[in-house]
Formats: sequence, C-alpha cells, structure tokens
Amino acid sequence: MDQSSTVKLHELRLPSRNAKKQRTMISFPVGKLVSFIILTVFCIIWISPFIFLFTVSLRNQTDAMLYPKEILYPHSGYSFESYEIILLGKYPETSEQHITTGVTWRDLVPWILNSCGVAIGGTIIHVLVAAFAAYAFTFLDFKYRNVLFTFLIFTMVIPGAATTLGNQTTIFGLKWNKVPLVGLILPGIGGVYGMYLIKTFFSGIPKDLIESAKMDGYSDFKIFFKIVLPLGKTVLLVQGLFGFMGGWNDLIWPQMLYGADVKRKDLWTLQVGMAYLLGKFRSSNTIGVSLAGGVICIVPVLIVYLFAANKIVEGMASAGVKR
Amino acid sequence: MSTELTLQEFYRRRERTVGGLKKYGLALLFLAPFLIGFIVFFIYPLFYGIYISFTNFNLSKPGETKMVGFQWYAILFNRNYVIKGTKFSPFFDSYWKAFIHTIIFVVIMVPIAIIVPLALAILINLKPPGYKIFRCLVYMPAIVPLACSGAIFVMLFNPAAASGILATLFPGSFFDNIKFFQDSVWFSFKVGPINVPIVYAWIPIFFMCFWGGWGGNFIIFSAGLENVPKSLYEASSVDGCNRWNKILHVTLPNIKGQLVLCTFTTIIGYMGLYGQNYTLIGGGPYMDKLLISAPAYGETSTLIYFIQAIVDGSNTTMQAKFYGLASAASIIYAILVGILTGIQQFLSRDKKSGTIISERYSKWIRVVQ
Repeated sequence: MDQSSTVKLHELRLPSRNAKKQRTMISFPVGKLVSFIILTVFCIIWISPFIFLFTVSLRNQTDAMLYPKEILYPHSGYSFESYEIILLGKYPETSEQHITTGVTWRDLVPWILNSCGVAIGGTIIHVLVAAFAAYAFTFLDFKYRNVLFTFLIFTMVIPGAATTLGNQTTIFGLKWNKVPLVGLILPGIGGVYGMYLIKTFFSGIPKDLIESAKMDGYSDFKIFFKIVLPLGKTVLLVQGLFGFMGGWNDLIWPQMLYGADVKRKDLWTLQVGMAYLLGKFRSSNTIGVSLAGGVICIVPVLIVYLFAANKIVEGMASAGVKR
Repeated sequence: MSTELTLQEFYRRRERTVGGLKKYGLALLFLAPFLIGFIVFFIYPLFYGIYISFTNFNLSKPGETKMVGFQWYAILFNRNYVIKGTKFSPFFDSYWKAFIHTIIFVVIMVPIAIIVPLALAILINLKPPGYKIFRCLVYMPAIVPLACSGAIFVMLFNPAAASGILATLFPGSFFDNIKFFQDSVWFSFKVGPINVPIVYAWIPIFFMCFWGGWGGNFIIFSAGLENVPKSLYEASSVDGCNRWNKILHVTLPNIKGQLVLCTFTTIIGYMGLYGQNYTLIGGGPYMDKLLISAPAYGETSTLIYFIQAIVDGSNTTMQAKFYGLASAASIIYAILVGILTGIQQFLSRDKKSGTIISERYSKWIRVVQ
C-alpha cells in the first residue's frame, strides 16, 4: 500500500464518518457472534480427544470390553486399573491377556528423569551457551565477526537430517549410547537458530548501557550476568520454553541412540518408552494402558502450557518460528 | 640509544599481542562452547555423513570402511542396479514409494494446514468474547507429544471390536466398516514401474496431522493479523468493500510474509513426516512381500521413515549393511529441503520474518567489498 493511496482513502473517509460509525455498530456484533459460535463448536471438537484421553484411561478393562459406548463416564465408575498396570505391573484378575511388557514404575521413573534431564537440563545448557555466543556477536568486537556470523546464518539452510547420521556415528564411536543423557543433550549445543533469535533480541539493548557499565569497571562477565541476561529474560524464557517442549517431545533422536537396546530401557526417554508401550497395547481392549502412559507423558507439558500459554503464544508470534 | 629503541619496540609489540589476546581471548571465551558444539556436532557430521554415503560404513565396525563410490546413489536412482551377489534390488521401489507417499501427503496436507489456521485466525481476530481462551485451546493440540497423540488416535480409529471410539459412536458408518490399521487398500495406482497402493491407514495419519499439525501457523497468522493497520479496514469499508473483499484485498496482502513463511515451513515439516506413521502403525501395513528385504517397505513409509528404518537399529543387519544407503538418502533429502529453505529465504527477503539470509547476504557483500 503506497503512501498516496492511503492518504486519498483517508480523505475519502472523513465526510462519511458518521454513516460509517452507525454501520459498524450494527455489523460488528454479528461478526463477533458468528465467530464466537463457530469457535465454540470448533474448540469443543478440538478438545474432545483430550477428554477421551483422560476418561478412557480411567476406564477399567471389563468396562472397555462390555460397555465401550460409555466413554465420558465408565459403567462402573472411574478406576485406576490402567495406571496400576503401567505403574505397578499389577494386572486385574479379569484381564484376558496378560501381556508382559516388563514395564513398571521402575522403568518409568528413569524415563521421566531422562526426559526431564533433556527438557530442563539440556535447555538450560543450550540457552546459556547460545546467550554467551549471542553476547559475543552483539557486544564484543573482533575481526571477522560479521563474516563468521554470516557463515553461521547461511548454514541454517541445511536441515538437521543431513547431520543426524554423522552425529550418530560420533555418539556411537564415543560409546555415549551406553551413557544416559550426554548424547541427547550435547548435539544441540551448536544450534544456530536459538543463537540467532537471542542475538536479534540482544541487538535491541542499547549499546550505551554496555559502554557505561564498562566505564564503571564492569568486566564482560559481570555485564553479561548482571545486565544483559536480566534484560533479555523474555527471549531466554521463550527460547527455554521451546527447548523444553522440543526436548520433552523429541522422538527420532533418542530412538536413534537408545531405541534398539531393549535391555537398557533405563536409558530411554518417556517418548521412546511410550512409543514402545503403544506398540504392545495397540489393538486390544488394553488401549487404556497406552492412554494412561499418554496421560503421564502429557501432564508435565500441559502444566507448563497452562501456566505459560500466553507467554508461549506471544513468543511463537514474535519469533515467527514453529516447533 | 639503541636499547631504548628496542625496549620501546618491545613494549609496543607486547602491548599489541596482549591487547589482541585480551580482546580476542575474551571473544573466544564467550564463543568457544558454541563454536565447539557447532563444529563437532554440525560441520564435522555434515561432511562425515557425505563421506559415509560413498562407503560401506558399518556402525559397529567403523574400522573396516571401504569406498564404494556412487553405489548407494545408483541403487536409489537406477532400478536395474543390483549389488554384487544379489539378483534383485528392492531398494529402488521401496525408496520411491516412500518418496511418492511423502509428496502426495505434502500436496494434500499443506493447503489444509494453511487455510484452516488462517480462517481460524481471522475469526479470532474479530475478537469475540474470550478470544484469548479460544486461541490457547486451538493451539493446545500442537504441544501434545507424538506418543500420546498416537495413543489417542489409535483409540479413536480402532475397530469396534477393540472399542475404538469412532466405531462405537457411529456404528454402521464409514468409521465402523473400515479396518484402518490392517491390510485394507483404499485404491492404488502406478507411477512408472512402481505400484503405489494407498491404504486406509493414511486416514488416521491425516487426522492426527490435522489435529496437531498447524498450531504454529495459527499463532503466526494471528500475530500477523493483529499487525494489519486498522485504518486500512476502515478505508476499505468506505470504498465499499464487503467482508470477503476485505479479506482478499486487505488481509491477505498484508500478511504475505507470514503466508510465505508458513507455507514453506509447513512443506518442510511434512517432508519430514515420521512420528505420526511410526506411532500409529509402525509404517505398516507391510503388504508387498517382494520388498521384504528393503527398509520401510510398508504402505505408509515416508522419506524419513526410510532413513530411520535403517539407522534406528531395530533391524541390526539392515543397520550394519546399509548405513551408507541411509546416508545417501539423507543427503538427497537434505538437498531437497535445503533448496526449499533457500527459496523461502529468498521469497521473504524484504519481509520482517525470515529475512535472515538475504539480509545477511547484503551485509556480507558490503563487508567483502
């Protein structure tokens, strides 16, 4: 929209302002009402899988077999049978098939810990490393700085798939596939995207602030921790939330590292374990067990989301990135 | 006199080196963790991956690597190429079937994953009461872990005998009559020499992607719509635009940047389709028994599935023998996706989002000149 046409349109608008006001007053609520109705219907459909997830996971196997239609409220009430199967390995006597998964809470706890390690520990490390690099690129002056940064940006064209196999050979060569977490966390350290986002935000911090801090005898480390990090906490939080979601939900990479080794289940993350369970409890009445696993899997993410939904949504919007 | 000069000279040199060390040392200290990570886990594996694709690399015996030239690429691109000692190579068919699956899925899914969130974002932008709650709810499925949404959609699409929700809620309907997770072919067609059956299992995969696959697009569109100047709408209504024309002539041109960004990121996202078909049916149903020695010969395989089936170690002989093949496939995949990313960066060069590369490029040109 070029300037001249905008101006013309504005001039046109002025005389008919009153007429327009009346029109908007009549037409606006209609649009809002229609959109409210459509969105309500849509959201009910959209949320129903979540509700099914919770209610069906709370249905016992007898009900699942005899009264499959009673979804929202199971025939004999809610029961924790599926959770008992998955957590304690305690099968009900009525159960037709005793599928031995060999999975109990003793396996689940390491999975949860591993997932937490990747999602929380990994994210903190990544964000800190990226913030250090972003600081250097924004506030420190060194030769070839722009050339180096440009090079890094150019490499963003190359998708992760090109490097995963090479990384797998590195990790297997170092025998890190027998060690928990290290192989999951370290390969993400050189991620350019996060560094770029943080750098863009840091660029908005006034240079004078840093200069005057330097005049006052602050060292660069002190500036970094006392001034830049507190100022940039929005972007760090956003980046951290992305990292948490990504780390918690990642399936492909942990599967490549640990998935094949059924004897070392303690190295798995929750996602790998749940995919494995889903493979076992797939097409039978024991789907409730998979769903119970799903509930265990989703609850931490859901809690983070419900508390930080607006932050996440705004972060997504400002960063213009996708998971 | 001469000593004095030397001392001065020495001092100056020392000053320069110490100053330089201080300056560069500090920058290096800040950059080191990142750069080390970048080199060890990006640059090195990138080139090593390319190298592997020309060898018979074996993950458990990395010492015995031999060069095999373009063998793996020949297998992927030439149907008649067979490895010495075998009679028939199933890899060509298996790979290209995965390729066709991926392309078809992208072609069907991407327009939907753009239009639906755009429509919803326009509705949200009308600011009905409670629109913030709606926004959160619409985005919510996007955060669900794959294994969890896999369980949900298995539950929904299971046959009635296994108390599938849709089959029991709508008895006698489409959902009840079709066995989604078994060998049931919807229709099939031929592309060149390759027979491509489309199985019903794609329907749950489609719905799983439809449910949880475009939350990011929705958020980006909503943000874009909020930034469209209100005066433009007012001006256009004075000009006699109706709602539809407003969307067509005011809204869409103003969020062109977001549209381009989302289109390409969505294409790239679905090019990497893997988790949905893995968690739902494990890449199956496996019907074509001729291809049984190939990775991912199932009817819902995709490009990433082909690679992952070799390298994830679920089949150790496959992993030992054909690691190079997986590497070649991943290089081809990376080139494809790289080209798409490049086009996206080029198209959105003067918009606010996704300027990165071209903006950097122009700066870089200035630095070089």
